[in-house]
Amino acid sequence: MTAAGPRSKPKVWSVSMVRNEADIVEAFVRHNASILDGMAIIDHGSIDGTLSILTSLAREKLPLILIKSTTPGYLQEQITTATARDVFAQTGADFVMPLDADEFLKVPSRDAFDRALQAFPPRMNGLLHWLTYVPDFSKAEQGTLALLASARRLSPERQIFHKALMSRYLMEQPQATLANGNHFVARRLHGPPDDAEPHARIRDEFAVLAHVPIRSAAQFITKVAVKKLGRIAAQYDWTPDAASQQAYEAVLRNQPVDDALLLEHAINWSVPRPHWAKPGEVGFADDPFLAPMTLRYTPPAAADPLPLVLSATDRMVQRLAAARRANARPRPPEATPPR
Amino acid sequence: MRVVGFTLVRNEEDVIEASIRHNLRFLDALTVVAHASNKTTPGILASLEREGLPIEVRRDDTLELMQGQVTTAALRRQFADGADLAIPIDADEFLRMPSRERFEHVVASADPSRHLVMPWLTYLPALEGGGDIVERLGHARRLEVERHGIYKAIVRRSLLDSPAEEVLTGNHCVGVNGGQSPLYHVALPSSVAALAHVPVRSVGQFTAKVAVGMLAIHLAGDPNKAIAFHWQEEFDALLAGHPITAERLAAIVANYSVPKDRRVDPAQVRWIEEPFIGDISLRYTPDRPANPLARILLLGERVASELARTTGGL
Repeated sequence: MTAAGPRSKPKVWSVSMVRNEADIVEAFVRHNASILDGMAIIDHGSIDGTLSILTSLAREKLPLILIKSTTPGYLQEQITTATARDVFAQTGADFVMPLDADEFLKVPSRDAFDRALQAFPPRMNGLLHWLTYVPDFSKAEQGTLALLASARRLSPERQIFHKALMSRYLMEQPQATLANGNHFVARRLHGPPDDAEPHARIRDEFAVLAHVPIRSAAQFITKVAVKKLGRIAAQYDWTPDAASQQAYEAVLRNQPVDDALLLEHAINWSVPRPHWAKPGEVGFADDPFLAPMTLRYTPPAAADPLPLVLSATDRMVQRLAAARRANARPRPPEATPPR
Repeated sequence: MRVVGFTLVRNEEDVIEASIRHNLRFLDALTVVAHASNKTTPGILASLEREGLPIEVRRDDTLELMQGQVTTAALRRQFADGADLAIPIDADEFLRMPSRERFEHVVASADPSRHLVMPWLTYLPALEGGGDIVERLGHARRLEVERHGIYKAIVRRSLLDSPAEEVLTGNHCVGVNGGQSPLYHVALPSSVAALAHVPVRSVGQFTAKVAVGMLAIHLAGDPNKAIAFHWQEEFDALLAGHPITAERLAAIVANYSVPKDRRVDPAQVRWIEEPFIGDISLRYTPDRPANPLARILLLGERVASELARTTGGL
């Protein structure tokens, strides 16, 4: 294929950067691997068994490329984009979609998805509609599959975001980088959305991304706490009215995280606080997304947040200590010009 | 003889008011530095100051726990202001001094060229049941036999005339060259003075202490094995997903600060009823339990901000 779009059946890969997603990563892989040609997954320092689950899945001959990253910091856009470029170069993929571990590609069939991709306009990257799914949190005790199967789609959707789909056009744009959150392809690192090139939108009847951001109290607490620290370190903190900031403050207050609180945050995920709705004010559609599967490696519950948050904080501490040592190291004397 | 205390505290709101009120029964004044604390501990300190208690409160917002340096500097200032003796006291330590008069007499009789040390006695408060920390400390039991072999320092004014001397991290003694050159101290018997140490008071408190304490030590790159070694094991256990439980707390205290080769089966240690807490009432101590996750996150936010400044956000 060229940047003009694929003529034959397109080859579609995904690229993901995951950390401590043991509760969902197996379902994520089994579902998306049933649609895609391959998945490149970067494990960024998980300590909760995520890497072990991924390794077991790779041994099952699922089409996975696993990358263990020890890169410090929160460089998701750069690492994901660089890995996507590698996937294009090494697999011959026509499209690469960045997927988070809580995102599930939803297509009526691979053939229908292929038809949409074959008609993809040349020299453009694309967008998929990003749809929020809210599980029945009382199903958490029955395991991840029961929880995901119970998820219903918010209808109407309450946020405005899409997720990027990279075409091989990316390879003609050496400066182009996924934007934070993978919501579009920016012309350059941290490029603003209003400066981005036009993207081609895939229509919902061909493909959408089902997003299940909140699944249990433990997962929710870990997610907002670790993301918050990463955001501060990357100088990309949430605004005070961001939904995630509200969730983080609830964690700091030690507010009990019960099903009602999870529901409140799930239906308002990515919605600024002034626009939050109450559960009775939103609608849901039964629109299941999950492929048939059996889980073999997933633990019965999400890991306790404290070790995961402590580990993330300790990594930052070690990194800061190293940066300070490097800054304090005396510089070598400058060479004296010959007389 | 003017005898003052110095306390470096970080987020110990469950015990700081009790500690200050108790220790001021034996001291003429106390300087307290709130190190990188959340809002609660400084709020308690401000309230105590407003009551007119003889305390001076300062803040230290540096990220690292540089205990030895901060303590030494504070004690030098106290001596410059007229103190004759200064006692570094942690927030979880309570003076046991049967008679101030006898204490002064023994100190005055001892070799004036040497600093002093007193026994450091490990206590276990009632971990179950209700009541505030004073009530629970009223039921605290002491380890019958200490195996850590550690004392706590009582520093003479001569520190002011000895620029090379410093209070070493842990406040166990005064040293020179980071402790490389030993200084001999006069050891007081516990009948004259001792410090009752209550390092463990609840699961939440101790989890937060270990987690935040070790993070601060990692940040400082402090080779202070005295503090680190008894926290590191618990820290590693927390990271591995093994939470500290109420059942383990007594076992932890039984071997607190004891090197591995001197530890004993916690079930075999004997505890003695020997109350130490004075007749005090608390006015500002919150009754909510410590939230270790929030403590970790508050430190994490500061570390992340500093990291952003140091690395430019990359």
